[in-house]
Amino acid sequence: MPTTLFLALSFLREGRTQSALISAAVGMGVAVIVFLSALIGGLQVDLLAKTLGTQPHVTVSRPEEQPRALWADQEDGAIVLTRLEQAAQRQRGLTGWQQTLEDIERASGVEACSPVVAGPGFAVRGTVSKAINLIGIDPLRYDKVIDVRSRLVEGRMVRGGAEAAIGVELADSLGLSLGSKLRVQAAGGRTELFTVVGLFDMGNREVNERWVLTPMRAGQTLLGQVGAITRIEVRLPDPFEADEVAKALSGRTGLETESWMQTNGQLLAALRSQSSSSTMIQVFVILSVTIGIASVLVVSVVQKRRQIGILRAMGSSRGDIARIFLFQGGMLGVLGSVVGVALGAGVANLFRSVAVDDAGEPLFPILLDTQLMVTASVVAISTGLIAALLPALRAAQLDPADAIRHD
Amino acid sequence: MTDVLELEGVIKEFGDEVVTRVLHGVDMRVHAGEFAALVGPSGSGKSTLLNILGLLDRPTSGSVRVAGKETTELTEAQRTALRGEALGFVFQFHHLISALTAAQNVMLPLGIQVGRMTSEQEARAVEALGEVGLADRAGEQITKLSGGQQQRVAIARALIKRPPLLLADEPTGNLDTETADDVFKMIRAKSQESGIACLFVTHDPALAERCDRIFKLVDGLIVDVRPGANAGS
Repeated sequence: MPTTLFLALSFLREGRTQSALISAAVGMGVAVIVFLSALIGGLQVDLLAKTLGTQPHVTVSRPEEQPRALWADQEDGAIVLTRLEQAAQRQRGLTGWQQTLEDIERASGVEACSPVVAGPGFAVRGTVSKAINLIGIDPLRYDKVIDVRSRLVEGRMVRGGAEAAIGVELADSLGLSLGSKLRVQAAGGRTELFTVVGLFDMGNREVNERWVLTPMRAGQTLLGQVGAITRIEVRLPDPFEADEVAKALSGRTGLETESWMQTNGQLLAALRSQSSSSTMIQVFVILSVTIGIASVLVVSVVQKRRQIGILRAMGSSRGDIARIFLFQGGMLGVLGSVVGVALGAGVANLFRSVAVDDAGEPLFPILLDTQLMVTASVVAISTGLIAALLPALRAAQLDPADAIRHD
Repeated sequence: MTDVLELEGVIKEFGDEVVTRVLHGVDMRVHAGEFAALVGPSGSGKSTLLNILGLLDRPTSGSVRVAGKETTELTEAQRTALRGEALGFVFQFHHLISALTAAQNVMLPLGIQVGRMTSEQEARAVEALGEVGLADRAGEQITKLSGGQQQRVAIARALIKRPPLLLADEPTGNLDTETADDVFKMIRAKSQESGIACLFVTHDPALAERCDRIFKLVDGLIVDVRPGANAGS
């Protein structure tokens, strides 16, 4: 064993009560970090999954039509002041989209993309009609962007022809079940009779009430967009890169792009402020732990002043002395991280099993993964080393002659 | 005869604005294998001189040669290495590492030299403790040993690397007469057996007279060098 490590261990063992107390303090700090990260991480992942479960990370569509003034500039240089009014947007399809789709698929930071034709309509059954959002999809591609298949509560996804998958709320309000016939009337007046082949629950009431998924061709026909689509929906491996990817895709395709981060500004602000609060708490915990370790080691340097002098007299270099105290800091971090990870994970699991709803499901999602535990351990060990830096330098700078004669 | 320690015109001053000269040009030589005493009243500069001889401090001017090496121009790292190789220390208060056992304390100079603690070193340490009559206490924590036993552990630690020069700074100053006599005899015997030179700092005139030579330091100057009246006893 290296001599410096041997001495560090011996010093820690000698002051075992002090070492145990400071390790417990480090452990408590690590436990707070683990528990808080698991809770807030879980809440964020859950919230994000619920929000992004029904919407793409990036949408690529045709730019909106801008009105142009016909007589703005006269030949004689005079300017006619006009008031331009934004016209209502017509339903204009994106043609030649196959090339664009391939282009987007190849772009970096894109996991999957899917063409969609969508528009408003009514679902009619008998005398009852409900406003719906008619969405024509390529089922195989669409599932990679919005996971409907795993949320099917009955039946299957649409495959082709006049099939429709609808939300459970819409089915309830119209009294539909698998195999029922559903008449859909598009805003343009066209109607089509679909067979209900699937019922889904996307965990969002509005989506469950309004979405009617049909095969692409049926949707195009009904919406009068034969051969065209409304938009391309994109999924990314990292949702938080949506703004950057949207910008890149806009430049690449010349089309208009919108990220979920633009359309969910408030949610994003809430997530960010939650993360900031959590980070602030963790920073203060780490600071307290750092100060705790540093103060114990500073006292240790004072107590062991004479012994440090003797070690120097026997040939230990300044670096050796510094290493003895750095090892102590690192080992307090290791001990603290073991205690803290176990304690934090234990408390998080206890919380998950205690805070449950009537059905026995956890009220708060807890995200407790290996990465979190490894990160917390690395933070604890780094904190120990950083905290030991000042005492280590102080010990290394001691004048051996003064230290030996120290009373 | 080879000298393990040679001092020429060693001057030591302290302070920047108000300069205090503690050593006024010390000349002395300790021969290989010699057992010499350094005596002098309190405030004569013994501690300052010992710090310079032990390479724990630098002289303001003059030459200090340890084991044939001029030390005044050496870097900090070179001085540390030479201190580890050529010098052994025994202090008035044993200055052992309280967190370690007797054997671990004794093996420490070997561990520091190679950077690792090994079982071979431990075996050597137990052997060295046997030579000072403490083989059965090798595994004891230092704090459980008596003052005399602790000083014997310190002697074993100082001699385990067989350094050419042992600096003993009043090692008997804190012991009763009988134990002090035991410790003196032990240091003398062990250094003689191993051919190690020793500079024995003491306030006890009777012990000084039992050394081969006596250096007397007064007001920062060696004022007398003479053989001990009862040398070898």
